[in-house]
Amino acid sequence: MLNVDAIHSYYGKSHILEGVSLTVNEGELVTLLGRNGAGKTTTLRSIVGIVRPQSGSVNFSGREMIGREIYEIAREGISLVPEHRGIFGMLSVEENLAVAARPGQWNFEGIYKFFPRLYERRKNGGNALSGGEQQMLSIARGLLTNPRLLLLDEPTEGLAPVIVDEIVNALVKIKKSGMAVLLVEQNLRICEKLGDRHYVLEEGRIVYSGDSENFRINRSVRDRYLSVGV
Amino acid sequence: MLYAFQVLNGLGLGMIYFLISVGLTIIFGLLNFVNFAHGAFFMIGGYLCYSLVGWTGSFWLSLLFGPLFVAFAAWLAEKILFHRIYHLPHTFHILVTVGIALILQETTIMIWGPVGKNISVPEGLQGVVTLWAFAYPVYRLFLISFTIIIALALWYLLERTRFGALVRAGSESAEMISLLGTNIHRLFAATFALGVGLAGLAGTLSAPVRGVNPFMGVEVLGIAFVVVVIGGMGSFTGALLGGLLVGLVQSLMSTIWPEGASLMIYGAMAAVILLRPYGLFGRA
Amino acid sequence: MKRREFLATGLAATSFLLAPALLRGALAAERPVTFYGVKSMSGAFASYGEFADKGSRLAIEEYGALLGAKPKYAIIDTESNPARAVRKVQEAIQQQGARFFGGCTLSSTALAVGKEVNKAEGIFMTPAGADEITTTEFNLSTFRWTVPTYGAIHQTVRPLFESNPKAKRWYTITPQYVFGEALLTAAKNLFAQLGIEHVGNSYHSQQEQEYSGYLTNAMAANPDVLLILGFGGNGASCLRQAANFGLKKKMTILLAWTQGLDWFQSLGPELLEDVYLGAQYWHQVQTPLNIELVKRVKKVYGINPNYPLAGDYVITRIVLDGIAKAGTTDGRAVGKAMEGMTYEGPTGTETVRAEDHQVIKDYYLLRGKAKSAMKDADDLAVLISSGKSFPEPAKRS
Repeated sequence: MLNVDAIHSYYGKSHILEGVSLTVNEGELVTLLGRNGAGKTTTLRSIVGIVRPQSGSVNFSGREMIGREIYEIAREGISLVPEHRGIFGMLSVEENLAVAARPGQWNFEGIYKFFPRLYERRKNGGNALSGGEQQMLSIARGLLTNPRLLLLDEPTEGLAPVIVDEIVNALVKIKKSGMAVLLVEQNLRICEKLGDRHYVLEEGRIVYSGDSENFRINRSVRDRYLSVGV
Repeated sequence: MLYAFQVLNGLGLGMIYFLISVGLTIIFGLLNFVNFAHGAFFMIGGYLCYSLVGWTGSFWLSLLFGPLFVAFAAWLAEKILFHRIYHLPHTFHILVTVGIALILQETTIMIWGPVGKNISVPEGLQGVVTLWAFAYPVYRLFLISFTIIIALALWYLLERTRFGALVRAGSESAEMISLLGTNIHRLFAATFALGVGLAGLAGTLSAPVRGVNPFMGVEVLGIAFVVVVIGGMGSFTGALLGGLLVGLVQSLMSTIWPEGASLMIYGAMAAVILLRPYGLFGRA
Repeated sequence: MKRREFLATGLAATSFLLAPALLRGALAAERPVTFYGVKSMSGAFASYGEFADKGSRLAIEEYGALLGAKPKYAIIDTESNPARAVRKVQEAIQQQGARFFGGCTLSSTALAVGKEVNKAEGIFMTPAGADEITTTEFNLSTFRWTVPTYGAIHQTVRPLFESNPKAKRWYTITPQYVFGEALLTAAKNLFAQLGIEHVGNSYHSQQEQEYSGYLTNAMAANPDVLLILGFGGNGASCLRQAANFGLKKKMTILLAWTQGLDWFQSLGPELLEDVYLGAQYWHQVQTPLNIELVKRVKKVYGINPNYPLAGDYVITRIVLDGIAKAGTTDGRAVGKAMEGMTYEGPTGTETVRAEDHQVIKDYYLLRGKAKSAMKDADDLAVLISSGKSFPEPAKRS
């Protein structure tokens, strides 16, 4: 479904991604790991069009995405839940959802069932939500666009363990619904629990690619490329 | 009694100032674009009123078509020129829009001449209403009522429709609503046309009160920026309260201290900024 | 140095020093006189400049030979900006030997240009209105055609009051700068003389657009007459808004200083009907020169003459006649010849007062006509009265 082939992305003169390739197939949940500064966020941004790769290709369902507008890529069915959640603070929860809503299997009713807390808080302003609620809102919003591929950038970062569990449960359900997901996460436990396949990014290059079985037994990858203590 | 009357007058003035400024503030809020040509479009609205009334004899037709034409012209300008410079620093916005304003001003002088023109108050709105010892022109009462209706309609548009939610959301992050699939080019163009169209509407409405002259755009631009700074860039409520405040100050000052009327407007602006640097309802 | 060389050098030096004077004398008779029109051809006052230019051109066109050759006309565009005007006048004086100038809409421009021309001992005649031009800022080069504030007030307030002596309560609206103050002072003095009760005054800035506050003040004072001292854009806005507020029905309105026909045309009869208007010139006045002027302007330009046109026409004529009378292009001599000159002008017999270079002429009180009473598109007002009112000339230093 998604085929990223040897993309090189820059911020100004900084060469951030040096030939990154990865794929996500229908119904898969793929994780992208790496230390801080490895280029994970840049990879996601290169897929959705915020950053334009100078070379390589981003192919989604047979169509080239590089060079297209952000909203065009979004309309193709790729939805990004960004690192800082991107909640509209001055809009209510309901309005945040409304500006995203597109026709499809995910609708307001379903979303509210999925995230009952959001239903309770639906009239509250985005700024009034806690970190965890904002994250839920951001994910809910991404789902409401009825994408075919959901990109998540460190959804559990900075959240209390109780909230993290809630988010993970939501991700499990999303996976069960059959949606394709590309998940950027530093939390190894979550990756192991959810991921069908895993990539590891180091200094702008993919240094490992493997399925969950391989990933579980491959200690050296964890030790060399991932932060101590995750 | 005189003061009560000045307050009424000030509120009327304030509503016009609101109409002029709200477009400017919405455009800045969403597009992050400093539009120094805003006053020039106000002027075009006034001159279109003059011409359309001359051709058709109907003020009401001018009220309908004048602002629509201005909105269309703004939409064209955005498509052809302005959208190319959004990403540039504000100083470039100012440079380009001041240039456009001057071109519009000189074109107006070429077409209509450098002397101001007069537009009659439409029949049916002529005459005065007598309140106590004072007479207040019927047209000005119409103006106040009409702008209040426009303000309400605008509020409804911004707060209760999807378009409005997109404009408010886009003001916080244009990138984010893009990621959610909104065509921001169309949103920006529509918002720009709306904002400038409102200025054109203000020009058309105030033509029978003030007449039209080629320099009226410059005059009004100063007031509009004061209102937007007082109210806070990007805030509808700010434009409303800012406009009313400036209108009231101007009106009351003409009784208390007429020479200082203009000065006090800037004084009020300075006072507000000292207390709240981003304006009454602005955000950082 | 040897004696022979000394004599030779001395002779050469003396000839060199005398040469310009000799040349000037020689050339003055053969080179045509050039009259420089200082007009606001662009900028805020472009419309005024356009008519003023037409007036000067017409005068030059019809003039026969002046000191042996047909006079020439050159234009200096002030761009409605005093600083630029002065610079251009300086250049003309230094590079082209310009000495004879006429025009200037703004008093600030006129005062500055007058100083420059006086340094070069040329002649400058202007229709600008500030009192200082013939009083505190008087100089030998500058002459003025327009009736200043004293006459504008006396020739409007007095006849209006005398035709309606019951209208004792007058309210004034005044632009707050030197010229407006001068009009107000003249008005207050006259009120005191006539026994008019000055029930109040509102000042406004020159940039003022919104007169509702001042008109409300006026309404509150309940006057019989509203005297508006603003003119041009100020006067137009104030009058328009006064009409909107229904003041025309409640009181008489007088604008003491208006620009005349072109200003009336931009406002229209609905606004002007029954409003009293002071004016420097009116095309319908039947004086020998004016009848001719109207005919000729209609023929050449297809319009009725207005104040800028008539004013600069007669200014150009007076200066050229002054040169003819003096028989020389020496500025001071021409100036002396102009002092005391009497001639037929657009307002009738006019005299250049010797003491202060002010032209003694009529000022008019007009009243706006109803649209139904208009015989043609320019028949916007009817003449009520006219006359000459000037204070004693200031003593020359």
